[in-house]
Amino acid sequence: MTTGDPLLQLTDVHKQYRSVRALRGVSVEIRPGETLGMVGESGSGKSTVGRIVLGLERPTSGSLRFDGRPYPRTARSLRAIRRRIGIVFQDPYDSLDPRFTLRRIIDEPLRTHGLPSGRDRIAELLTSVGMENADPDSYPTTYSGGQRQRIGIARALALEPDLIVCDEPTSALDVSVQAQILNLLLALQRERNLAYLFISHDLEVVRRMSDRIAVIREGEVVETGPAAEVTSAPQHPYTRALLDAVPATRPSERHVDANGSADPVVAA
Amino acid sequence: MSTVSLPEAPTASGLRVQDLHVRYGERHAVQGVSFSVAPGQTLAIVGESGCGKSSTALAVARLLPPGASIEGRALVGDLDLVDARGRTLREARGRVVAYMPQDAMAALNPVQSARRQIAEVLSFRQGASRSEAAAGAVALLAEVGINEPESVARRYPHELSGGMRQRVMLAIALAARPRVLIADEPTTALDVTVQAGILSLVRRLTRADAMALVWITHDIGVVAEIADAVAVMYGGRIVEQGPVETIFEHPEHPYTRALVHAPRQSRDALPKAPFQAIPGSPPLGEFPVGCPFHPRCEHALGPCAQTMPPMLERGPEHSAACHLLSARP
Repeated sequence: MTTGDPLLQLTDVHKQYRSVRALRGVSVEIRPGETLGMVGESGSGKSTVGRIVLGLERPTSGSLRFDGRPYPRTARSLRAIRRRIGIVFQDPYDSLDPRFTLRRIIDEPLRTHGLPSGRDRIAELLTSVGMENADPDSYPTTYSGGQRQRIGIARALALEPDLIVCDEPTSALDVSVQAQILNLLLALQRERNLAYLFISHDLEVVRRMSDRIAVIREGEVVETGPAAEVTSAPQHPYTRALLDAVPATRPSERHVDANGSADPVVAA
Repeated sequence: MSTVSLPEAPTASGLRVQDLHVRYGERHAVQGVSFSVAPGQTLAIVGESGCGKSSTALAVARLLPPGASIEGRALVGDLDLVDARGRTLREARGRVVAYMPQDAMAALNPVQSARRQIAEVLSFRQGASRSEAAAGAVALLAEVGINEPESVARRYPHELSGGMRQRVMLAIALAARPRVLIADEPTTALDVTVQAGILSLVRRLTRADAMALVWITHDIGVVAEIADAVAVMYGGRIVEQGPVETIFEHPEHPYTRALVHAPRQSRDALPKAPFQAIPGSPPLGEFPVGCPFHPRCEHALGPCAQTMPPMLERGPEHSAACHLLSARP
């Protein structure tokens, strides 16, 4: 679903860390139930956008609106917005406390916001991520990377958010497991009309997950548009370079020729 | 520098690995792996976490941690790297076999300049004088495609980008002109545009020097880009190997088929359409009895859970280990 007023709106957002201009006037919006894919390389500012949307950082200038209202300035009033935005982290090994049971991990956002939880709620959340057989009193260390990421997603769903920031949610996972997690995210979006800010360095994954794509480089969005259009008819040379660097799917299409004398797309 | 007591590794000898096993105590991480790589050729070993690909790489480079045990052979000419001890092993490092790690930041010395770290190899391995080694370091940086090598040579690892650090690692690995280069996911942490440059560079240099290159990766796209031959690992074993064209166009093992088809299916799919997924996750630690892939295999039959399928010849230099193939000619 991609109609209606934007759920999230960033207008001319700048972020400066001392001498580093991390974001230079980023304007993007996400409608309810829509996925905006944000693709860029390391240092492009894509994770900074995620942190600003989550209210973990304040922009140096620019406007941020959620559900039509500007982000409040005080931490206390920000809580109301944070309740409606979840996060799925990159590394399911780092982002789940190994000393907490699944129950406590999934329960934590509910307790933080003073909401009722209980046995049924935890079981329901585990079921929604395909972990219905997991013991809520077990620890994350007994699970594989893919299962841990499911637990992380259950935690993100606990507050029934309208938007989830997914920051490279599958880059730490094995290739055969990535597809399962991406399918889960797609299914949850359909069931719950969730919006995603899907941040990744992988243009092919972003294309598959997104309604619209924003290509970010050096703190600037250089191209934005519907996923199929941006990837089939890229307008900006940088988008084209990213597309060209996506590895071949068969040896007959390789960029690196027999002598290895292919052109490096961008010098290191 | 005195001359070497090394069984002479002929300049173009390649690498032959035979029935390699690696154990960490009770854990049998690599269970009889055999492959060979001709000079100037690239073998990609592809697999997911826990499949034994990095243990294989570390075993051949003789960089396994203490407590790990190796069996089998890894021959470069007449020299068996598995057997090499003491001085023979010391002399073999860098000159016979070199290793390029994934995490260059962790591998480089943070308090030494790039020049010093490259020069160290040149003086230790080739007996170069101080000034020769310094000049050689700059020449190597130019060879690995670094612009302004003089200036980069003076920099410390934290002053270099990820791509440049990986180029410095490559210069160190190539400094003593090894016969075999083991590259353990050296581009995994790099941006795609930088990765493409490193892939081309490594392939070109190893070809020019008739080096045997073993490239360890989890990324089937990288395999399509650089490999001449492919070994697919799963559960501590090679489950299929062959020339790159055969592996991509006529894969026989269900796991290989899933790996090589997934990116193509993805390219053809529309945004928001479901992905083709293999259920379950790769085994960690304990490998299942029988074929290690059987719990995730949609074609699994009775014998798959009981006995490990043998490696079957499927064509020229192409073999696969799957019970389904015994039934089919």
